Amino acid sequence: MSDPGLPPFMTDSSGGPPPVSDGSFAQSMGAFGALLKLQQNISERFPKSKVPWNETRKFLKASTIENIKSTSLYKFQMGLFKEIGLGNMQLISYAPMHYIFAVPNNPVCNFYPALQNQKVCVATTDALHRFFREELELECSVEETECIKNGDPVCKFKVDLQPISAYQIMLDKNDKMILSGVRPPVDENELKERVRALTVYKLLEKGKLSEIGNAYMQFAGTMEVEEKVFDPPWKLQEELSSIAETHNTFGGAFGEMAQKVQNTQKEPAPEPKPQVSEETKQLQEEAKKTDSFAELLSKMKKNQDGQ
Amino acid sequence: MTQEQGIAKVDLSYIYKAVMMGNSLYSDNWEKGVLYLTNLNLWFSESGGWLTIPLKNITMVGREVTDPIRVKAQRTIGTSHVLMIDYLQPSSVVEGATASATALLAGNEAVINTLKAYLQPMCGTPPKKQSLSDVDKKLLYMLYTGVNDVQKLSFFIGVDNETLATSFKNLRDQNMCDTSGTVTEQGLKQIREMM
Repeated sequence: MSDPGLPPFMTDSSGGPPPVSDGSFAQSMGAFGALLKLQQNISERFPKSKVPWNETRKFLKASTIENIKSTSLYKFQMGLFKEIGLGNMQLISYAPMHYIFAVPNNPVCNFYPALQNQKVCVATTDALHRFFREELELECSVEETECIKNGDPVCKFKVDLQPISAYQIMLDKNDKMILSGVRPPVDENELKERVRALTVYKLLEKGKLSEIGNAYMQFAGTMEVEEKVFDPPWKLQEELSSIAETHNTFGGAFGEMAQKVQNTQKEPAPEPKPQVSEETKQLQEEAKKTDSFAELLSKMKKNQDGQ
Repeated sequence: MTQEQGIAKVDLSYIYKAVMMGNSLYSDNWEKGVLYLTNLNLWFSESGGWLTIPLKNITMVGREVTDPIRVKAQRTIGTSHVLMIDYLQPSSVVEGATASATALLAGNEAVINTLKAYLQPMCGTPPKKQSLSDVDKKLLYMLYTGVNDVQKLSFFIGVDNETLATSFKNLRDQNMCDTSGTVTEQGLKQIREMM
Protein backbone atom coordinates (compact mmCIF):
# COMPACT_ATOMS: atom_id res chain seq x y z
CA MET A 1 0.00 0.00 0.00
CA SER A 2 1.42 3.42 -0.92
CA ASP A 3 1.71 5.98 1.87
CA PRO A 4 -1.14 8.49 1.65
CA GLY A 5 0.80 11.02 3.76
CA LEU A 6 -0.89 13.05 6.46
CA PRO A 7 -4.68 13.42 6.40
CA PRO A 8 -5.83 16.84 5.10
CA PHE A 9 -6.96 18.08 8.52
CA MET A 10 -3.33 18.00 9.67
CA THR A 11 -2.07 20.13 6.81
CA ASP A 12 -5.00 22.54 6.48
CA SER A 13 -4.55 25.65 8.63
CA SER A 14 -8.04 27.07 8.11
CA GLY A 15 -10.59 27.40 10.90
CA GLY A 16 -10.50 28.98 14.33
CA PRO A 17 -9.76 27.49 17.73
CA PRO A 18 -12.42 25.26 19.27
CA PRO A 19 -14.84 26.85 21.70
CA VAL A 20 -13.72 26.68 25.33
CA SER A 21 -16.85 24.80 26.42
CA ASP A 22 -15.82 21.81 24.25
CA GLY A 23 -12.87 21.03 26.52
CA SER A 24 -9.31 21.38 25.24
CA PHE A 25 -7.94 18.99 22.61
CA ALA A 26 -4.91 18.27 24.76
CA GLN A 27 -7.43 17.03 27.34
CA SER A 28 -9.21 14.90 24.71
CA MET A 29 -5.95 13.34 23.50
CA GLY A 30 -4.85 12.64 27.06
CA ALA A 31 -8.27 11.20 27.83
CA PHE A 32 -8.10 8.81 24.88
CA GLY A 33 -4.71 7.60 26.09
CA ALA A 34 -6.02 7.13 29.62
CA LEU A 35 -9.05 5.23 28.31
CA LEU A 36 -6.74 3.01 26.25
CA LYS A 37 -4.70 2.26 29.39
CA LEU A 38 -7.88 1.32 31.25
CA GLN A 39 -8.96 -1.00 28.43
CA GLN A 40 -5.50 -2.59 28.42
CA ASN A 41 -5.89 -3.24 32.16
CA ILE A 42 -9.25 -4.89 31.51
CA SER A 43 -7.83 -7.02 28.69
CA GLU A 44 -4.99 -8.13 30.95
CA ARG A 45 -6.82 -8.67 34.26
CA PHE A 46 -10.23 -10.02 33.31
CA PRO A 47 -9.10 -13.29 31.70
CA LYS A 48 -7.37 -14.14 35.02
CA SER A 49 -10.50 -13.41 37.06
CA LYS A 50 -12.76 -16.37 36.37
CA VAL A 51 -14.82 -17.24 39.43
CA PRO A 52 -16.00 -20.80 40.27
CA TRP A 53 -19.74 -21.38 40.57
CA ASN A 54 -19.57 -22.26 44.28
CA GLU A 55 -18.39 -18.70 45.03
CA THR A 56 -20.93 -17.08 42.69
CA ARG A 57 -23.61 -19.16 44.43
CA LYS A 58 -22.75 -17.55 47.79
CA PHE A 59 -23.04 -14.12 46.16
CA LEU A 60 -26.40 -14.95 44.58
CA LYS A 61 -27.83 -16.47 47.75
CA ALA A 62 -26.85 -13.52 49.94
CA SER A 63 -30.09 -11.67 50.46
CA THR A 64 -29.10 -8.39 52.09
CA ILE A 65 -26.66 -5.72 51.00
CA GLU A 66 -24.54 -6.41 54.11
CA ASN A 67 -24.44 -10.15 53.35
CA ILE A 68 -23.54 -9.51 49.71
CA LYS A 69 -20.79 -7.11 50.73
CA SER A 70 -19.30 -9.73 53.03
CA THR A 71 -18.86 -12.30 50.24
CA SER A 72 -15.36 -12.87 48.88
CA LEU A 73 -16.65 -12.40 45.33
CA TYR A 74 -18.02 -8.93 46.07
CA LYS A 75 -14.78 -7.83 47.75
CA PHE A 76 -12.76 -9.22 44.85
CA GLN A 77 -14.92 -7.51 42.23
CA MET A 78 -14.77 -4.12 43.91
CA GLY A 79 -10.99 -4.42 44.40
CA LEU A 80 -10.47 -5.49 40.80
CA PHE A 81 -12.54 -2.62 39.39
CA LYS A 82 -10.68 -0.12 41.55
CA GLU A 83 -7.24 -1.45 40.54
CA ILE A 84 -8.21 -1.36 36.87
CA GLY A 85 -9.14 2.31 37.18
CA LEU A 86 -12.94 2.13 37.25
CA GLY A 87 -13.21 3.89 40.59
CA ASN A 88 -14.57 3.06 44.02
CA MET A 89 -17.68 1.06 43.13
CA GLN A 90 -20.22 0.13 45.84
CA LEU A 91 -23.44 -1.87 45.87
CA ILE A 92 -26.21 0.48 46.97
CA SER A 93 -29.41 -1.39 46.17
CA TYR A 94 -30.43 -5.01 45.82
CA ALA A 95 -33.40 -7.16 44.89
CA PRO A 96 -33.01 -10.80 43.85
CA MET A 97 -31.25 -10.80 40.48
CA HIS A 98 -31.18 -6.99 40.35
CA TYR A 99 -28.23 -4.99 41.63
CA ILE A 100 -27.48 -1.26 41.56
CA PHE A 101 -23.85 -0.20 41.85
CA ALA A 102 -22.75 3.39 42.42
CA VAL A 103 -19.40 5.03 41.67
CA PRO A 104 -18.80 8.39 43.38
CA ASN A 105 -16.23 10.67 41.68
CA ASN A 106 -16.20 8.24 38.75
CA PRO A 107 -12.83 8.57 36.95
CA VAL A 108 -14.45 7.34 33.70
CA CYS A 109 -16.37 10.64 33.44
CA ASN A 110 -13.02 12.42 33.05
CA PHE A 111 -12.44 10.61 29.73
CA TYR A 112 -14.99 12.85 28.01
CA PRO A 113 -13.94 16.47 28.60
CA ALA A 114 -15.90 17.70 25.59
CA LEU A 115 -19.22 16.07 26.53
CA GLN A 116 -21.80 17.46 28.95
CA ASN A 117 -25.41 16.69 29.98
CA GLN A 118 -25.37 13.04 29.00
CA LYS A 119 -24.45 9.62 30.31
CA VAL A 120 -20.98 8.63 29.17
CA CYS A 121 -19.70 5.66 31.18
CA VAL A 122 -19.62 3.03 28.44
CA ALA A 123 -16.34 1.63 29.78
CA THR A 124 -17.93 0.84 33.17
CA THR A 125 -21.12 -0.53 31.60
CA ASP A 126 -19.10 -2.82 29.33
CA ALA A 127 -16.75 -3.89 32.13
CA LEU A 128 -19.67 -4.83 34.41
CA HIS A 129 -21.35 -6.73 31.59
CA ARG A 130 -18.14 -8.55 30.71
CA PHE A 131 -17.35 -9.40 34.35
CA PHE A 132 -20.81 -10.85 35.02
CA ARG A 133 -21.05 -12.59 31.66
CA GLU A 134 -17.55 -13.98 31.18
CA GLU A 135 -16.06 -14.27 34.66
CA LEU A 136 -19.26 -15.29 36.51
CA GLU A 137 -21.08 -16.88 33.52
CA LEU A 138 -24.20 -14.88 34.38
CA GLU A 139 -26.11 -13.49 31.42
CA CYS A 140 -27.36 -10.03 32.19
CA SER A 141 -28.17 -6.58 30.93
CA VAL A 142 -26.33 -3.56 32.31
CA GLU A 143 -27.51 0.00 32.04
CA GLU A 144 -26.10 3.27 33.30
CA THR A 145 -29.05 4.95 35.00
CA GLU A 146 -27.36 8.06 36.43
CA CYS A 147 -24.15 9.83 35.50
CA ILE A 148 -22.11 12.62 37.05
CA LYS A 149 -21.69 14.04 33.52
CA ASN A 150 -25.47 14.27 33.36
CA GLY A 151 -25.67 16.31 36.54
CA ASP A 152 -26.28 13.40 38.95
CA PRO A 153 -24.33 13.20 42.24
CA VAL A 154 -22.86 9.74 41.44
CA CYS A 155 -22.81 7.35 38.50
CA LYS A 156 -25.22 4.43 38.95
CA PHE A 157 -25.34 1.13 37.06
CA LYS A 158 -28.25 -1.30 37.08
CA VAL A 159 -27.37 -4.95 36.56
CA ASP A 160 -30.33 -7.24 35.80
CA LEU A 161 -29.47 -10.92 35.75
CA GLN A 162 -31.20 -13.23 33.34
CA PRO A 163 -33.12 -15.52 35.74
CA ILE A 164 -32.55 -18.69 33.77
CA SER A 165 -28.83 -18.10 33.82
CA ALA A 166 -28.84 -17.16 37.53
CA TYR A 167 -30.85 -20.30 38.43
CA GLN A 168 -28.46 -22.49 36.49
CA ILE A 169 -25.54 -21.37 38.64
CA MET A 170 -27.36 -20.75 41.91
CA LEU A 171 -29.07 -24.12 42.22
CA ASP A 172 -26.85 -26.95 43.36
CA LYS A 173 -27.73 -30.63 43.62
CA ASN A 174 -29.48 -30.22 47.00
CA ASP A 175 -31.61 -27.30 45.77
CA LYS A 176 -32.72 -29.35 42.79
CA MET A 177 -33.67 -32.19 45.14
CA ILE A 178 -35.88 -29.78 47.11
CA LEU A 179 -37.52 -28.56 43.89
CA SER A 180 -38.12 -32.18 42.90
CA GLY A 181 -39.87 -32.80 46.24
CA VAL A 182 -37.05 -34.87 47.74
CA ARG A 183 -35.43 -33.99 51.07
CA PRO A 184 -31.67 -33.48 50.61
CA PRO A 185 -29.16 -34.84 53.14
CA VAL A 186 -28.77 -31.57 55.08
CA ASP A 187 -29.66 -30.53 58.63
CA GLU A 188 -32.86 -28.69 59.52
CA ASN A 189 -31.28 -25.22 59.62
CA GLU A 190 -29.67 -25.60 56.24
CA LEU A 191 -32.89 -26.94 54.79
CA LYS A 192 -34.77 -23.89 56.10
CA GLU A 193 -32.14 -21.57 54.67
CA ARG A 194 -32.33 -23.24 51.26
CA VAL A 195 -36.13 -23.12 51.23
CA ARG A 196 -35.96 -19.43 52.13
CA ALA A 197 -33.55 -18.71 49.25
CA LEU A 198 -35.68 -20.68 46.78
CA THR A 199 -38.74 -18.74 47.95
CA VAL A 200 -36.95 -15.41 47.56
CA TYR A 201 -36.07 -16.45 44.02
CA LYS A 202 -39.74 -17.34 43.32
CA LEU A 203 -39.09 -21.02 42.70
CA LEU A 204 -41.07 -22.03 45.79
CA GLU A 205 -44.27 -20.51 47.07
CA LYS A 206 -45.63 -21.38 50.52
CA GLY A 207 -43.31 -24.37 50.60
CA LYS A 208 -44.49 -25.73 47.28
CA LEU A 209 -43.16 -25.56 43.76
CA SER A 210 -44.35 -22.30 42.20
CA GLU A 211 -45.43 -21.90 38.59
CA ILE A 212 -42.02 -20.44 37.84
CA GLY A 213 -40.35 -23.34 39.66
CA ASN A 214 -42.46 -25.81 37.74
CA ALA A 215 -41.58 -24.22 34.39
CA TYR A 216 -37.90 -24.07 35.35
CA MET A 217 -37.80 -27.75 36.26
CA GLN A 218 -39.55 -28.50 32.98
CA PHE A 219 -36.82 -26.53 31.22
CA ALA A 220 -33.81 -27.63 33.24
CA GLY A 221 -34.86 -31.20 34.03
CA THR A 222 -33.34 -32.58 30.84
CA MET A 223 -30.33 -30.32 30.82
CA GLU A 224 -27.06 -31.81 32.01
CA VAL A 225 -24.81 -29.21 33.55
CA GLU A 226 -21.26 -29.95 34.57
CA GLU A 227 -19.88 -27.67 37.25
CA LYS A 228 -16.20 -26.87 36.81
CA VAL A 229 -14.30 -26.78 40.09
CA PHE A 230 -11.23 -24.56 40.41
CA ASP A 231 -9.66 -22.10 42.82
CA PRO A 232 -11.13 -18.57 42.93
CA PRO A 233 -8.81 -15.83 41.66
CA TRP A 234 -8.50 -14.33 45.14
CA LYS A 235 -7.27 -17.56 46.79
CA LEU A 236 -3.58 -16.68 46.72
CA GLN A 237 -4.25 -13.19 48.05
CA GLU A 238 -6.32 -14.62 50.93
CA GLU A 239 -3.63 -17.17 51.78
CA LEU A 240 -0.96 -14.47 51.84
CA SER A 241 -3.10 -12.31 54.14
CA SER A 242 -3.67 -15.25 56.46
CA ILE A 243 0.09 -16.00 56.58
CA ALA A 244 0.78 -12.35 57.44
CA GLU A 245 -1.71 -12.54 60.30
CA THR A 246 -0.28 -15.75 61.81
CA HIS A 247 3.38 -14.70 61.90
CA ASN A 248 4.87 -12.41 64.52
CA THR A 249 7.97 -11.48 62.54
CA PHE A 250 8.33 -10.03 59.08
CA GLY A 251 11.08 -12.54 58.20
CA GLY A 252 8.94 -15.57 59.06
CA ALA A 253 5.93 -14.27 57.13
CA PHE A 254 8.05 -13.25 54.15
CA GLY A 255 9.71 -16.69 53.90
CA GLU A 256 6.41 -18.54 53.89
CA MET A 257 4.84 -16.08 51.47
CA ALA A 258 7.75 -16.46 49.04
CA GLN A 259 7.37 -20.24 49.24
CA LYS A 260 3.62 -19.99 48.56
CA VAL A 261 4.08 -17.68 45.58
CA GLN A 262 6.81 -19.92 44.14
CA ASN A 263 4.61 -22.98 44.49
CA THR A 264 1.71 -21.34 42.67
CA GLN A 265 3.80 -20.06 39.79
CA LYS A 266 4.14 -22.52 36.98
CA GLU A 267 7.53 -23.58 35.73
CA PRO A 268 8.41 -21.17 32.93
CA ALA A 269 8.19 -22.80 29.52
CA PRO A 270 11.58 -23.44 27.91
CA GLU A 271 12.47 -20.84 25.34
CA PRO A 272 11.66 -22.13 21.87
CA LYS A 273 14.73 -22.89 19.82
CA PRO A 274 14.72 -21.26 16.42
CA GLN A 275 14.60 -23.61 13.46
CA VAL A 276 17.94 -23.47 11.68
CA SER A 277 19.27 -24.99 8.48
CA GLU A 278 21.94 -27.71 8.38
CA GLU A 279 24.43 -25.16 7.13
CA THR A 280 23.78 -22.88 10.09
CA LYS A 281 24.04 -25.81 12.51
CA GLN A 282 27.48 -26.68 11.11
CA LEU A 283 28.46 -23.05 11.43
CA GLN A 284 27.34 -22.96 15.06
CA GLU A 285 29.38 -26.08 15.84
CA GLU A 286 32.40 -24.60 14.06
CA ALA A 287 32.03 -21.36 16.01
CA LYS A 288 32.24 -23.28 19.31
CA LYS A 289 35.62 -24.72 18.28
CA THR A 290 36.99 -21.38 17.07
CA ASP A 291 38.77 -18.81 19.24
CA SER A 292 38.15 -15.66 17.23
CA PHE A 293 35.66 -14.22 14.77
CA ALA A 294 38.47 -13.67 12.20
CA GLU A 295 39.42 -17.36 12.43
CA LEU A 296 35.77 -18.37 11.90
CA LEU A 297 35.46 -16.16 8.81
CA SER A 298 38.64 -17.66 7.40
CA LYS A 299 37.29 -21.22 7.92
CA MET A 300 33.97 -20.27 6.26
CA LYS A 301 35.86 -18.83 3.30
CA LYS A 302 37.90 -22.03 2.95
CA ASN A 303 34.72 -24.15 3.07
CA GLN A 304 33.06 -22.03 0.39
CA ASP A 305 36.17 -22.23 -1.83
CA GLY A 306 36.27 -26.00 -1.38
CA GLN A 307 32.61 -26.49 -2.48
CA MET B 1 -16.62 26.94 12.33
CA THR B 2 -14.88 24.41 14.55
CA GLN B 3 -11.32 23.59 13.60
CA GLU B 4 -10.60 19.92 13.03
CA GLN B 5 -8.12 18.55 15.55
CA GLY B 6 -6.69 15.07 15.98
CA ILE B 7 -7.52 13.10 19.10
CA ALA B 8 -5.96 9.72 18.39
CA LYS B 9 -4.13 7.71 15.75
CA VAL B 10 -4.37 3.92 15.76
CA ASP B 11 -3.25 1.06 13.52
CA LEU B 12 -5.97 -1.38 12.58
CA SER B 13 -7.69 -3.30 9.81
CA TYR B 14 -10.95 -2.07 8.39
CA ILE B 15 -13.64 -2.47 5.78
CA TYR B 16 -14.93 1.00 4.97
CA LYS B 17 -18.15 -0.18 3.39
CA ALA B 18 -18.99 -3.74 4.39
CA VAL B 19 -21.53 -5.81 2.48
CA MET B 20 -23.72 -7.51 5.05
CA MET B 21 -26.92 -9.48 4.94
CA GLY B 22 -28.51 -10.37 8.27
CA ASN B 23 -25.82 -11.99 10.39
CA SER B 24 -23.49 -12.69 7.48
CA LEU B 25 -20.60 -10.67 6.16
CA TYR B 26 -20.01 -10.96 2.42
CA SER B 27 -16.97 -8.64 2.20
CA ASP B 28 -13.45 -9.80 2.81
CA ASN B 29 -11.63 -6.73 1.51
CA TRP B 30 -9.98 -5.87 4.81
CA GLU B 31 -7.50 -3.00 4.50
CA LYS B 32 -4.60 -2.71 6.91
CA GLY B 33 -4.04 0.95 7.66
CA VAL B 34 -4.18 3.90 10.00
CA LEU B 35 -7.24 5.47 11.55
CA TYR B 36 -7.25 9.05 12.80
CA LEU B 37 -9.97 10.06 15.22
CA THR B 38 -10.66 13.80 15.27
CA ASN B 39 -13.33 15.91 16.87
CA LEU B 40 -15.20 15.86 13.54
CA ASN B 41 -14.30 12.76 11.54
CA LEU B 42 -12.87 9.30 11.32
CA TRP B 43 -10.07 9.27 8.71
CA PHE B 44 -9.10 5.96 7.12
CA SER B 45 -5.82 5.72 5.20
CA GLU B 46 -6.44 4.16 1.83
CA SER B 47 -3.89 3.42 -0.86
CA GLY B 48 -2.82 6.86 -1.95
CA GLY B 49 -5.55 8.80 -0.18
CA TRP B 50 -7.99 9.15 2.69
CA LEU B 51 -11.60 8.13 3.32
CA THR B 52 -13.68 9.85 5.98
CA ILE B 53 -16.79 9.22 8.02
CA PRO B 54 -18.08 12.43 9.63
CA LEU B 55 -18.93 11.73 13.29
CA LYS B 56 -22.27 13.48 12.78
CA ASN B 57 -23.18 10.84 10.17
CA ILE B 58 -22.61 7.94 12.55
CA THR B 59 -25.91 6.39 13.61
CA MET B 60 -24.68 3.58 15.83
CA VAL B 61 -21.42 2.37 17.32
CA GLY B 62 -20.87 -1.15 18.62
CA ARG B 63 -23.81 -3.08 17.21
CA GLU B 64 -23.44 -6.70 18.31
CA VAL B 65 -20.95 -8.56 16.15
CA THR B 66 -22.16 -12.08 15.47
CA ASP B 67 -19.99 -15.16 15.88
CA PRO B 68 -19.77 -15.90 12.10
CA ILE B 69 -18.36 -12.41 11.53
CA ARG B 70 -15.83 -12.82 14.34
CA VAL B 71 -14.78 -16.22 13.00
CA LYS B 72 -14.39 -14.81 9.50
CA ALA B 73 -12.32 -11.88 10.77
CA GLN B 74 -10.14 -14.25 12.80
CA ARG B 75 -9.51 -16.35 9.69
CA THR B 76 -8.80 -13.40 7.42
CA ILE B 77 -6.88 -10.92 9.56
CA GLY B 78 -6.03 -12.88 12.71
CA THR B 79 -8.25 -11.08 15.22
CA SER B 80 -11.82 -11.51 16.34
CA HIS B 81 -12.08 -8.09 17.97
CA VAL B 82 -14.36 -6.21 15.63
CA LEU B 83 -16.24 -2.92 16.02
CA MET B 84 -19.25 -2.20 13.85
CA ILE B 85 -19.97 1.42 12.92
CA ASP B 86 -23.22 2.25 11.15
CA TYR B 87 -23.31 5.56 9.30
CA LEU B 88 -25.14 7.53 6.65
CA GLN B 89 -23.55 8.40 3.33
CA PRO B 90 -24.81 10.31 0.28
CA SER B 91 -26.96 8.05 -1.85
CA SER B 92 -25.48 7.09 -5.20
CA VAL B 93 -28.99 6.66 -6.62
CA VAL B 94 -31.03 9.66 -5.45
CA GLU B 95 -29.40 13.08 -5.31
CA GLY B 96 -29.62 14.72 -1.89
CA ALA B 97 -30.72 11.47 -0.21
CA THR B 98 -28.70 9.33 2.18
CA ALA B 99 -28.11 5.61 2.40
CA SER B 100 -26.94 3.58 5.35
CA ALA B 101 -23.59 1.85 5.34
CA THR B 102 -21.52 -0.13 7.82
CA ALA B 103 -17.81 0.07 8.50
CA LEU B 104 -15.96 -2.69 10.33
CA LEU B 105 -12.88 -1.95 12.41
CA ALA B 106 -10.70 -4.77 13.72
CA GLY B 107 -7.51 -4.98 15.71
CA ASN B 108 -6.08 -5.17 19.21
CA GLU B 109 -8.79 -5.80 21.83
CA ALA B 110 -7.92 -2.79 23.98
CA VAL B 111 -7.78 -0.44 20.97
CA ILE B 112 -11.13 -1.63 19.63
CA ASN B 113 -12.78 -1.36 23.05
CA THR B 114 -11.31 2.11 23.55
CA LEU B 115 -12.66 3.32 20.22
CA LYS B 116 -16.04 1.91 21.12
CA ALA B 117 -16.10 3.44 24.60
CA TYR B 118 -14.92 6.79 23.22
CA LEU B 119 -17.23 6.97 20.23
CA GLN B 120 -20.45 5.66 21.74
CA PRO B 121 -21.19 8.67 23.97
CA MET B 122 -20.01 11.06 21.22
CA CYS B 123 -22.35 9.51 18.69
CA GLY B 124 -25.29 9.15 21.01
CA THR B 125 -25.46 5.41 21.58
CA PRO B 126 -26.91 4.75 25.04
CA PRO B 127 -24.60 3.01 27.52
CA LYS B 128 -26.59 -0.20 27.78
CA LYS B 129 -25.26 -3.63 27.13
CA GLN B 130 -27.21 -6.79 26.38
CA SER B 131 -26.56 -9.79 24.21
CA LEU B 132 -29.48 -10.37 21.86
CA SER B 133 -28.21 -13.50 20.18
CA ASP B 134 -28.15 -15.15 23.59
CA VAL B 135 -31.82 -14.27 24.04
CA ASP B 136 -32.57 -16.08 20.78
CA LYS B 137 -30.77 -19.21 21.94
CA LYS B 138 -32.47 -19.23 25.33
CA LEU B 139 -35.89 -18.68 23.77
CA LEU B 140 -35.36 -21.49 21.29
CA TYR B 141 -34.38 -23.90 24.06
CA MET B 142 -37.31 -22.91 26.25
CA LEU B 143 -39.73 -23.39 23.37
CA TYR B 144 -38.14 -26.80 22.78
CA THR B 145 -38.78 -27.83 26.40
CA GLY B 146 -42.41 -26.81 26.05
CA VAL B 147 -42.35 -23.53 27.97
CA ASN B 148 -44.30 -21.19 25.70
CA ASP B 149 -46.20 -18.92 28.08
CA VAL B 150 -45.15 -15.36 27.23
CA GLN B 151 -45.10 -14.17 30.86
CA LYS B 152 -42.89 -17.06 31.95
CA LEU B 153 -40.61 -16.70 28.94
CA SER B 154 -40.28 -13.00 29.61
CA PHE B 155 -39.45 -13.65 33.28
CA PHE B 156 -36.90 -16.42 32.69
CA ILE B 157 -35.05 -14.70 29.89
CA GLY B 158 -35.17 -11.39 31.74
CA VAL B 159 -36.31 -9.23 28.84
CA ASP B 160 -39.37 -7.12 28.12
CA ASN B 161 -42.14 -8.32 25.82
CA GLU B 162 -40.90 -6.20 22.93
CA THR B 163 -37.43 -7.81 23.02
CA LEU B 164 -39.04 -11.21 23.32
CA ALA B 165 -41.20 -10.49 20.26
CA THR B 166 -38.10 -9.40 18.28
CA SER B 167 -36.28 -12.56 19.29
CA PHE B 168 -39.31 -14.71 18.38
CA LYS B 169 -39.43 -13.00 14.98
CA ASN B 170 -35.70 -13.71 14.51
CA LEU B 171 -36.28 -17.39 15.21
CA ARG B 172 -39.24 -17.49 12.83
CA ASP B 173 -37.28 -15.67 10.11
CA GLN B 174 -34.51 -18.21 10.44
CA ASN B 175 -37.09 -21.00 10.27
CA MET B 176 -36.19 -22.24 13.76
CA CYS B 177 -39.82 -22.29 14.89
CA ASP B 178 -43.27 -21.76 13.43
CA THR B 179 -45.80 -19.09 14.35
CA SER B 180 -47.20 -21.21 17.20
CA GLY B 181 -43.74 -21.56 18.76
CA THR B 182 -43.25 -25.19 17.77
CA VAL B 183 -39.58 -25.88 17.08
CA THR B 184 -38.91 -26.93 13.47
CA GLU B 185 -36.40 -29.50 12.15
CA GLN B 186 -34.00 -26.61 11.56
CA GLY B 187 -34.51 -25.46 15.16
CA LEU B 188 -33.91 -28.97 16.51
CA LYS B 189 -30.68 -29.14 14.51
CA GLN B 190 -29.60 -25.83 16.08
CA ILE B 191 -30.42 -27.12 19.58
CA ARG B 192 -28.36 -30.28 18.99
CA GLU B 193 -25.44 -28.06 17.93
CA MET B 194 -25.88 -25.86 21.01
CA MET B 195 -25.84 -28.88 23.31
